Amino acid sequence: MSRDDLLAWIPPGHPDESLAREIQFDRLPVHVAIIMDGNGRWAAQRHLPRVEGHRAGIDAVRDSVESAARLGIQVLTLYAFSMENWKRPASEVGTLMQLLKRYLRSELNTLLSNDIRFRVIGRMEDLSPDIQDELHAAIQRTSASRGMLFNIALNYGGRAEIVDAARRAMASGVRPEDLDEQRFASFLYTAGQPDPDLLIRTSGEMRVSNYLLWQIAYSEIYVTDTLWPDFRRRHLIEAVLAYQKRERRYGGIGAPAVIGAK
Amino acid sequence: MVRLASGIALAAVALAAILFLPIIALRIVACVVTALAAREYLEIVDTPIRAIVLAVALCWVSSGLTLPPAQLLLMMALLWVAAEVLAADHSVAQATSGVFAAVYVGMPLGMLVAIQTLQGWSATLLLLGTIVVSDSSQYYVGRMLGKRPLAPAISPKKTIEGAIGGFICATAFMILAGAKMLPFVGYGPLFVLGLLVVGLGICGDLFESRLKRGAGMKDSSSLIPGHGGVLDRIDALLFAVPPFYLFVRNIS
Repeated sequence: MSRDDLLAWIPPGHPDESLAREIQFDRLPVHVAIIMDGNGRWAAQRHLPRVEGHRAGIDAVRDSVESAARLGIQVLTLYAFSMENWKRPASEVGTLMQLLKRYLRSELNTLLSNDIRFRVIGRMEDLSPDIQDELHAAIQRTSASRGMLFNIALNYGGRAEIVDAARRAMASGVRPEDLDEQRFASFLYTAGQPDPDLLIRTSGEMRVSNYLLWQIAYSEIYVTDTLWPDFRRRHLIEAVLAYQKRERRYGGIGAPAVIGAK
Repeated sequence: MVRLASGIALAAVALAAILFLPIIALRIVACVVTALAAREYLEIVDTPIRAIVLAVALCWVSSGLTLPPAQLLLMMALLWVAAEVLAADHSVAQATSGVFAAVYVGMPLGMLVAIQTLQGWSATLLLLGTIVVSDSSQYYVGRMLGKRPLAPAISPKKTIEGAIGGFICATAFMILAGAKMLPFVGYGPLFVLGLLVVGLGICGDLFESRLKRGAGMKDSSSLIPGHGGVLDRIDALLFAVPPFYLFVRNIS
């Protein structure tokens, strides 16, 4: 994707247009990870039940996925459901799962037409069989896509991922002295994917919440007060612009490192 | 042998329908099954067959997610009874037993589809599986250990021991399979649901036996080889669906 692709998608004269022109397309974050927080708060502000916040959050997912793909981001990872979220009331979890199913059904064609490849990270085997079925179908149908990789973190925990990776490493019979960081990363759910360059968290909380603990070692963190259901293309562009103003040092001392390079 | 073969064929067809048919097709299937079962019921209670319309209509309505107000439905029931009594000169008892076809058959079969719409086939199969386990464990435990009859006047074959076996096996199934099928539901609610499904299933079974006994019949019809009629097959289901449906609505 390029600036022209993005601009062709934004209606002329739209306020997002001037923002989009500021993006340096040669310095885009390769991998953007998002903690989608604030659905409950959004609903509470409107005196609605929490599930209405999740419902509204689906629109933000739709918009962000398409915007990220148009922008030219190569990997987008959304934190949909953590292993700790099982503690929520059954009514909320039940609705979330059905929303996920409906999203997959209604958006599959959008994913395909945007050449997006869908993947799941997390302990998928603990979800309801019919949800697993739906996820496998979406993964299967989009497996030939070559555009953006769209990871959704479901029943995900960062520590659990590291434990699972350690188990897989041991099961593979790798010798302790042969196990280095690169090798270990190949046992993670995100094997083969670049680490997130930019981690966005909505609704103003300054927490990592057990998300991609290994992978965010050098991610730039951007926290916005916007609640997730209100998050749109403009907010994504703002996050990218903020990212491009930062100097990434990877533990070095302010060498003119190339942003986005690995 | 015939019974086993047609039982397996029936289960396979039902499973395929639940897994592969879209909701709209399932709603139509539910309406067809409602029509067949309601016809058997109406013949047993010797009521004019036209009350099938009510059963199919309530099935269609209950299988959707947006429901008309209960008062509207009850008012239509009232008008139906009034028309039967005033225009067709039926007795009130006969007219109301026609309306009952809708509550007895149409509503639960519609709810079964709504369960699938609300929580997917995991929930539908969990309920149907529990009923199958309940029915067969009652039968086999009753045959092995059964001594004391449960309701000798209605159904001489049912035993207290069989019923206890049903409660234990099917509630255990509901808890174990439920943890897999609806992983966000706790053991407490699954336990209560298990007890309700078995208890009401037994009631449904006895209720249908009582219906047939009143009419001096053994099977509700001979539509399914070795099993009797549609009503004989779904009698436990009809009573067990509503509480499960209300629970699923509550968690969706």
